[in-house]
Amino acid sequence: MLMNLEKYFKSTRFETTLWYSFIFLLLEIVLGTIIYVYVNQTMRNELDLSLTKQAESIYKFVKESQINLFEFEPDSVYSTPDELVYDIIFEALAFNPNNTFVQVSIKDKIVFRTANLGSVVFNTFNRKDALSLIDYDEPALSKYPIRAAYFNKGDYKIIVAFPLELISKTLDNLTDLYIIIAPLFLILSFVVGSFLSFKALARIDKIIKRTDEIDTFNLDTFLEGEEYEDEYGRLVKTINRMLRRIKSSIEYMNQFTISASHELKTPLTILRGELELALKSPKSKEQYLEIIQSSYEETLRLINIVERLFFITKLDNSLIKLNTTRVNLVQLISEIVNDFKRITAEKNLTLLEKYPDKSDIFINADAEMLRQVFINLLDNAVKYSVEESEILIIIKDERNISFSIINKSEPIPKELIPKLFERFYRMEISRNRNLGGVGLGLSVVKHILDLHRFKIQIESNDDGIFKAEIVF
Amino acid sequence: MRILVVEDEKKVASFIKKGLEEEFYSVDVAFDGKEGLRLALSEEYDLIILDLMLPFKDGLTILKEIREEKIFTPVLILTARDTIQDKVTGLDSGADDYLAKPFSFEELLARIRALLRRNSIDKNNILKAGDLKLDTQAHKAFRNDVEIQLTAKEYAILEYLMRNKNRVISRTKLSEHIYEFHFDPETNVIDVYINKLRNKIDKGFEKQIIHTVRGVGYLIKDD
Repeated sequence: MLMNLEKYFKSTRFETTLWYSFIFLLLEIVLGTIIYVYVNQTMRNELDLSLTKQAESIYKFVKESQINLFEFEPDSVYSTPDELVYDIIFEALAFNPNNTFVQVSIKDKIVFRTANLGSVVFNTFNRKDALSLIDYDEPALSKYPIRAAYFNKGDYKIIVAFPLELISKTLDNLTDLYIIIAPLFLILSFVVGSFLSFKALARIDKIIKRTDEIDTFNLDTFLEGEEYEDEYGRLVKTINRMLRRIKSSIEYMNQFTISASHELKTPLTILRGELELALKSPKSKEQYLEIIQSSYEETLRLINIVERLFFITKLDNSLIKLNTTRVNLVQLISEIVNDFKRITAEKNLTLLEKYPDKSDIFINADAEMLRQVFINLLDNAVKYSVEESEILIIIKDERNISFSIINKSEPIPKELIPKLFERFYRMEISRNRNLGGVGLGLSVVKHILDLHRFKIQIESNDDGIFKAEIVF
Repeated sequence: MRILVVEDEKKVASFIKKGLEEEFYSVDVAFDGKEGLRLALSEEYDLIILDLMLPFKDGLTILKEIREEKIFTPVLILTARDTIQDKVTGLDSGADDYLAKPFSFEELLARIRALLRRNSIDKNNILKAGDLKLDTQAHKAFRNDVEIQLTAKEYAILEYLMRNKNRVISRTKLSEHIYEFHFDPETNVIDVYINKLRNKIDKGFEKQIIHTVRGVGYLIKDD
């Protein structure tokens, strides 16, 4: 349980949920602030507007009454100017459900004050013909600031005021509401976020589970869900592609092991068989010598195979770094060709060389590796050429620098040509040398040329003219 | 006993041939699948040793084709392919035995003896006819427990006749199973060998073991 919890806290699901809640909270704060400011502003504007309107209408009534209120004399109807002014501005006050504070003074003499003012008198000051909105602090009236429309026109100073209490309380309520609601929303957002991330990531768990089940024994099983076009579909496709790559490289390794052991089995069979026969019954000295000679040859063959296998493994694992230098192609090839002259003479083969007039042609390559390529190609040509034929070696320096070797062997079926580069190809069709099978030789050639990004092409026609061309 | 070896690796074929000839078998060798099939169809063999990976025609195809031609000569597959699946496929295609390379020559010989036993009347390595005994493992003949010295060809003829005892074997058939491919059956060399054998086996004994069936061939009688 604790482990699970720990696992949960480290999970993307938890992280996503946290982010979700955090962003939700941030949005809430921003939105709340906007609402707060907006409500505050709107209410204040409304209040200001209504205070202003009231002040204006009081002025209008007072002004239009044509009564000299400044020099008020009590009479039977009105004992104080207040009563008179009240009557005059009654209509304006009637629209005053909020019970505003009103104070009217003429030439700095207060002629009217609403009863709710009590003993409080608003300060007046001189401003020329202006309507201004000011805040009074009158603790006796309200502990909140009092908003007032101060209307100053001619001799009249009219103040219509109202405490900001309502607005403040509304805003306070809003804040209270917010404080209560915010954590609720936070919890809700966490739950919702958790649910959403669970839903979104549920397929990940499935993918993890299925992937976990895959090992080298069931590489044939692929993950389901490739048909979806979303991220999960892409992930599944990627994993499946990876699985296929792993599978093919394992198959390749298996094939390599099988082929390698096959290749080793032939000389081992010969060694074992011949030696066993030698031990089985007494032989003449000549027969023993023959068996020793043959065993020695097979041992050399084994060494050769092992060395080539090792070389190919190194190539496969990119353990070989090219040591690229400027190589004089003509010089390199003529050296190798000279080395082969003795063997070709023994086999009654003629070596023909055709090089361009310019005797120095340079290419960038690993000289030793390239030497191996030419040796293998020449070796094949010598091995598989029919008796008393010609081997033609051409270097061209035209659009590209190229090397070709042409010899006459048994015809190779067209469909088999691409397979010549396959490792142990000679094995697969059997070890028949007449068919032009070449075992590891050509696959080493191809490997080295691939490393150099040089191209090789092999052609063979029905007359058995075999041509290998390398373009540098 | 005549054996066909179909094996493309010349040195392997060569030591098998040598080793089998030391054991008094006559051996034909084919270096590719086509030649192997041709020989298997045209000649009479007591056993075929077949490699699987062969040029022109692989071993399994050869095997299927000879079985389709109703030739039920025992076939021993001798190959570098040694997975269980390879063995199952080989045996299911009609092979009688399967031996993986590199093999022990002694084992090959024992398996050959086992396969040859199947078609002979005696089911062990000692063939018997009356008081004549032939040890096919040691290549020795005994009459009344006295060893009789035989040459390779004499032994081969005797072995073939004893494996087919109580059956009349024609000269042609005998030469087919004793000699390699390039033997001319018109010669009377078989008669010469039979005479020599009679001198060694039947001379001085009241009961004759090798009988001549005039105009047909020879016969070894068990009773």
